[in-house]
Amino acid sequence: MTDKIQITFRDPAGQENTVSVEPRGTVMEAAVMNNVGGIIAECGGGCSCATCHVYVDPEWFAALPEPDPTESELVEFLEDARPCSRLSCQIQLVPELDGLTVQTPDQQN
Amino acid sequence: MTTRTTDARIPDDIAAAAVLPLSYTDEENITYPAFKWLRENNPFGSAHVEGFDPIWLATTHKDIIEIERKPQIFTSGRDEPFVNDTASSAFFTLMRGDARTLDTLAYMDAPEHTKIKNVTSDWFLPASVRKREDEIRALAKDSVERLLAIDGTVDIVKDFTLKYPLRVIMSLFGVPPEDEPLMLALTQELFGTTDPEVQREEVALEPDVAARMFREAIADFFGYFSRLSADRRLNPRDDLSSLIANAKVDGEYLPESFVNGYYIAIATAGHDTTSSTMSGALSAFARFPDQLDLVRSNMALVPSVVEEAVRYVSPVKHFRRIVSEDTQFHDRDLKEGDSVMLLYPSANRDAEVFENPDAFDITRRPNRHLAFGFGPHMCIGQHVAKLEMRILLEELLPKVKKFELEDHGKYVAANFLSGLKTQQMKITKA
Ligand code: HEM
Ligand code: FES
Repeated sequence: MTDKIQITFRDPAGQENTVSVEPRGTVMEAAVMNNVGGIIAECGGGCSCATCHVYVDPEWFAALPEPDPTESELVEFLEDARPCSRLSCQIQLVPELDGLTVQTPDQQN
Repeated sequence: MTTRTTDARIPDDIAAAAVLPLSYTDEENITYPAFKWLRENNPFGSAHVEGFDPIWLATTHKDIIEIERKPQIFTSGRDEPFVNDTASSAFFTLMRGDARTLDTLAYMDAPEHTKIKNVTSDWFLPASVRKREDEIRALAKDSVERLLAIDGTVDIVKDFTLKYPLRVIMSLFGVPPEDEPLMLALTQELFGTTDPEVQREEVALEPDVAARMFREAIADFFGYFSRLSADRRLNPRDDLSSLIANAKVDGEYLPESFVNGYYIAIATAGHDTTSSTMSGALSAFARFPDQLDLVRSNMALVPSVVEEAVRYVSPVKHFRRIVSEDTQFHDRDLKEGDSVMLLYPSANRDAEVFENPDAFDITRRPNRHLAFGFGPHMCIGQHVAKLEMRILLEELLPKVKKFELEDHGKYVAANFLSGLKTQQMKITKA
């Protein structure tokens, strides 16, 4: 068994919810599997619905692999996009991401 | 949407236009005008067409999204996920007996659907499929070279768009090129459509004979892939067959019928759809030459061409859902067991979402079409499709100045997968 890692989801009101997961799958799956609110993931991780949008805390943002152009294109069209926006279904969980913190937007459209 | 108090029943001619396979041979004059009428007058009505069971037609962008958001109520696993005439339904019932026709995603609901989809979902993500770019580009270059080597009039479907997507899929599976003709024959045989011209002879036979022949064709197809899977369990490689053959769900290899269900779904879903989209795009360039000039002067627009081509062609004409419990949708009473036809091409011409929807306009941004569906069943292969189409256009468009139609083209008579089956064209090289 691999060691679990901790991922923290912060809601728009600042409430934090930390989950312990094995380092595989994606941030979106970690949220959905642990009933974290604020992530809808309509397309189930297909990089097409953008309803798994999160803001990655700045100190973590740079640690993530570059987004694929398909993801960037989707993010660009989100009204509430910020420089640290990512689609959580495109962030693969690896041991190095232990402690990752992301914030969910006011709403997923 | 405002509640309309119209009669649920759709006028017979409109219902026939939306449901009958033959209507799709002339979309411009038959299906699209009918869809427009429906969106404006009876966006969620009940179609009664002779030879078919009654069915609800979902025609607006908004409604299709709303339905796909509720997969517990609008299910995929209760029956064939396509609209068949009553005779073909009898054929499928005979063929499958108590079992499901295919153990594949389109026939499944959660939680089974989620588990089986997860086997390949990472492999199909954009960053992952992009790793195949070089492989795919080599196939695209070869296809373009062969096309441009032809002197005079070409059949853009038979000479160009038909083979490329199958070659792409086969290379992703890891099927060696020498087996491609066999795979082409098998997939075409298996999916003899409702079009009398391309139908396998047997389908016109009595249902029991047809069912036996269909089972034999499936057995040939499965035989090939069972051998491929066995090989990949011994010698795993970096291809899609190795992934599917070695996948474990709940600690066990996938049952053979599920492995084969995956192959058959990908081989068939990834083939005609992409081919129709490409031939439709080139025929659109012939009719909207300014759009060709525009992209040729700015090749960064190619991804938008791909999106617009998929919207404009909408090669998947519908999927069907079965209602799992009595429910209300708008002002209609739906009963358990009712069928709903999700008419993607109609959603993609919905004036509430697309300005000037009948125009082929490669500058639409965003282009929120539903040609790949929506929700949990949304096309798993969409990033493969978009990548291979982008690459093909990148290889082709710089070399061509003008496309001209030499005939009216002929479309497949099918209400599920349709598109051009032949189109004569003149190509002027750049
Ligand atoms: C332009 C090309 C394509 C179009 C327009 C298209 C369209 C669609 C649509 C409309 C659906 C059903 C969505 C829903 O129920 O909401 C679907 C499902 C599917 N497609 Fe595609 N598709 C294309 C290419 C491909 C390719 C290249 C592959 C494989 C490599 C593929 C594999 C599949 C599979 C396996 C499903 C079933 C997914 C499920 O039920 O969960 N498709 N596609
Ligand atoms: S879940 Fe749909 S884009 Fe991430």
